[in-house]
Amino acid sequence: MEIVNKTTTDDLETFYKPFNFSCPLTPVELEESIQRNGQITPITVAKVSNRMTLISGYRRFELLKKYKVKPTIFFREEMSIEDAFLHYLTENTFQRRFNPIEKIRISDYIVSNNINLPPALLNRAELGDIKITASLIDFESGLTDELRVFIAEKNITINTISRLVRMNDYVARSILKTIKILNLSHSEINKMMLDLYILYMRRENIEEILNNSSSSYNQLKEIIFSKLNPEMQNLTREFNKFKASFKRLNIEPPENFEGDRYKIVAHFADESEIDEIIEELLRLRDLWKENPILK
Amino acid sequence: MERKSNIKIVLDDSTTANSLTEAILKNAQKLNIEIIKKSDSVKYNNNQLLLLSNQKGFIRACPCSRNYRCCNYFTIDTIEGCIFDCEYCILKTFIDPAFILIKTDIDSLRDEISSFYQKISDKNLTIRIGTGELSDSLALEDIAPYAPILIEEFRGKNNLILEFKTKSDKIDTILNLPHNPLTTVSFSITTDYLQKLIEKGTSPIEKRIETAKTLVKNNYRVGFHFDPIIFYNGYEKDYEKTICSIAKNISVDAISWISFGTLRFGKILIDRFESPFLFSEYINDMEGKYRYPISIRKHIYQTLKNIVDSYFGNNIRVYLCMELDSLNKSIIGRKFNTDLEVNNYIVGIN
Repeated sequence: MEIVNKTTTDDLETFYKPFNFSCPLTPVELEESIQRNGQITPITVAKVSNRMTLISGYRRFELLKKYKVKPTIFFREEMSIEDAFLHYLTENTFQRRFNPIEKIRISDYIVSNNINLPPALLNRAELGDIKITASLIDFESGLTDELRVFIAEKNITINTISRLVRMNDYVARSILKTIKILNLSHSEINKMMLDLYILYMRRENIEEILNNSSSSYNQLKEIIFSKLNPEMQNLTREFNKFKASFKRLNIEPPENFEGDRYKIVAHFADESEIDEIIEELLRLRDLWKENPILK
Repeated sequence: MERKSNIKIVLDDSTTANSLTEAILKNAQKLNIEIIKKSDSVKYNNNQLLLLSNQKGFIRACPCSRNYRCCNYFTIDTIEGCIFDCEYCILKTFIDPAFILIKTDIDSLRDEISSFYQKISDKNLTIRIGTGELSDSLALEDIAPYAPILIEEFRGKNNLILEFKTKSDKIDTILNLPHNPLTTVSFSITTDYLQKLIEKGTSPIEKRIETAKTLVKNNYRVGFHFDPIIFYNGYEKDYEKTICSIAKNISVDAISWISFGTLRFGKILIDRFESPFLFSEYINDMEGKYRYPISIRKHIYQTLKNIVDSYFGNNIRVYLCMELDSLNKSIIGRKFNTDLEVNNYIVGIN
């Protein structure tokens, strides 16, 4: 084993790169670090089946090329392709978390090559059910680089991508286009995608929903909620009507009306207002069984 | 001779030699079931692998729910995993799908039952306990005849009511056995339409009711669990058909209890659903699970309770599984303050 500084990025370009799973997305922190400090961690290289092979450091290699920095290489002894892959996974999972595009590509590599990996390493790589994750490779291959970067940046979960894949291709692309335009956060995307998936499986017209609301996230949320939860919308409306008849009392139901405990908040300034509160409490007691949740 | 080609018996180094494993191996031979070593099991990952395990730990309080009213049930985990493939089954989300575990250490089981009985007797309680939590109680009886062992163990222990919960018709191993008179075989039951669509491998509804009838003739008590009740257009008529068939075939005196529970599940399960009616309106409940909004649940419970009452009168102990106290009050007409009160109501103590 040795660390040498003679190899250039041009040399590295000619090396075999079987584990180039990285998405076009390069983390800003890594880029800034290389600009500021140069290369800190060596790129790992070894001879695999008589070919010089880049094992680990694919993203570093791309950045070194971009900023014309001479690479520092860590040469390891010759190894099998299986060991090289094990090394790639071990080193990367200790340093960082894979983004969803990488997870799909790595899982596909494992399944296609029938590789057996230690369960602890698989868990650390957070690939989920590798067969399911690998099955998303056709969808991933059909994406533009722009959408790949978007999915990686927003760290859209494998579950969410699986839901997209289960919908028809046209609908899936429309959804991706909409969430990209609306620039939703990671959690907003995952929540909205689950809601749209349920609506899709109920045979609702997703295109129509998206077309009616593509300009505003709040508008889209409202439309989705009304389609998804008509009963809850109705209950909430009815309960609000009931509680509005009490001017001095603010009646707070449990979330989603799940639970038997309700809260009453009342504000007062003087005795006369306390009298009004007492009067309303007595009226509430008499009417309670008539409230839209219990009746 | 019947051949169960997709089932394999898996042995590992810890498998105990006892009367149960002997019976399993004998049944395997009779049914042409291949026996393999655990180390070879990866080759058979498309099969249903029944792993004979020495794992201990059988009896525990039903995990149920902290935020909804429970019924103080206890479970005996003799088998973990199921050969049936119900689309809504929550077991898929937390049980290792690679193996169905058959826990064969019956000496430990007997010890546990004995000390549990002692504890319950000391507290002067009557408790329901059963094997249907992590598996179907009877689906594998033709291979792993666990039920006769349990029936024998619970004989004479009159304050422990043993319950088998099943969607199968495999009762041959328990017919003609002397048993505790309160031993109950309960059937998870639904509509004919749902059974055909989403309960792959299970016994048809009419067959389950016929099986219940046979059990009653053999002096067993029976129960019916309408759980999960699934809401779809026309559900009322279909459920009424099932209840009507029960009423025609089973005397009210032979029914220990009827339970209602609407569909509830961890969110992860939604990715395994395919049937459109399973993509219904759900809310996040107090456990972080999906279930129908309260008004839909109330409508379902009231509808089914009215149907049951119209066929059986008000003579059967009907209870709600994991529900709000307010719903128990409006549907069952009882306000329960503790889980034990629910248990006592179900077993008829008050």
